[in-house]
Amino acid sequence: MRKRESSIITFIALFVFILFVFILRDSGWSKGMRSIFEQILSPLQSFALSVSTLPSNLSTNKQLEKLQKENRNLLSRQAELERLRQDNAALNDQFALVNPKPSLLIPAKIVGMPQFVPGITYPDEIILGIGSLDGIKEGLAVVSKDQLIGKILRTSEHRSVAMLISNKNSSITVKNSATGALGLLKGMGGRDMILDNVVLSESLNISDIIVTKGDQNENGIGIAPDLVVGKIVSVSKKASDLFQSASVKSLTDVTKLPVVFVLNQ
Amino acid sequence: MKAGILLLILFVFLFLEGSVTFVPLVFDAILVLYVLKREAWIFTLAFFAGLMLDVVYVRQFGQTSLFFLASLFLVFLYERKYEIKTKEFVFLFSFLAGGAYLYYFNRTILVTQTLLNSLAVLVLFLALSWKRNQIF
Repeated sequence: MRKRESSIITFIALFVFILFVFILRDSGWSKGMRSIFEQILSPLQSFALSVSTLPSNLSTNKQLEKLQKENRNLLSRQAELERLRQDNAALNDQFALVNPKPSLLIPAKIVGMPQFVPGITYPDEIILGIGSLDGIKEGLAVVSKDQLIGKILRTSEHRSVAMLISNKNSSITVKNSATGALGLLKGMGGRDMILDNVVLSESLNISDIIVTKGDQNENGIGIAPDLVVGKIVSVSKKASDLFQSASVKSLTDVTKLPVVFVLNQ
Repeated sequence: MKAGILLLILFVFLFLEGSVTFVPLVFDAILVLYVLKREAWIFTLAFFAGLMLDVVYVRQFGQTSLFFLASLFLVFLYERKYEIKTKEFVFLFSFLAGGAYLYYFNRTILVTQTLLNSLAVLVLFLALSWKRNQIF
């Protein structure tokens, strides 16, 4: 009987405490408490992630990984060349475009990958070890080199969560770097995405590189233009349909990246 | 000794769940602990484990704790009417609560994952029940 009373008292006390936490969630006290927890847990979480991804990283053939990296770089270069060809040459000479500009990038260590089981599932979101105190805001783009990885979904003082572009809830406006065909890229889970809403008159070809169209507000928050999102692996085009679609595969394996960059414009 | 082993299991689960995997391992461990021990300190443990998960997942502070406490309180209410230290109860409760957890926090309804999670809880429950005389 005494045990039951003790359980009820403990439950009520903790329940009331949680209510206070909810009520005072925007206060300095709550943020301070969270900040202390974050600073304690961040290195431990980062260590746990590196230990859990170790088997899959070890099993990867180094040579294959090197070739894949070279392939990614070549494809990125191809997309960059296509873009350069279409741009005004004089303007390029004047501004020496580099996309994205290194000065705008904030390095962020990946400290967590919820829903990721090595070899079985691919993450939908990644947790970054930096937060609002480091200048991270919701909606900013997350990149690796010139490739779009995702965008910031929510932040706390020392952490932030980024939704990957392959997440089923992700949807961004993109274009074919070779032909300029516009479409809507939707995440399908894993590293797969689908390019939809492309009018039939436009041309989509296998191996074409898809880049972002650009979707930023007046404060620079959003997705910058001309970031590589992936490569077309198959095209579905029927004369009876309103639009054509294509399957797009991301060129970057996020699970292999220790660090990504937040594009703060 | 026993508190050390329990905390170690929970600590390992906490960081596994915080860094990789979607399976609610911490909830599983807490549920099995409560079913086996039925002591008030497990509510406190659930509360702090929930806070830590909220931090690592950048969730609203306290919501995971609230879920853990509410679930344990349900088990607590059921223990007067039913025998909770059974395979059937553990499996059914972990299936329903684990499903609710996955839906609420991951916005997914995945029957296979929930089922696998319930089986994992069952294995943990049976292993700890079997080892109970040595551990508890």
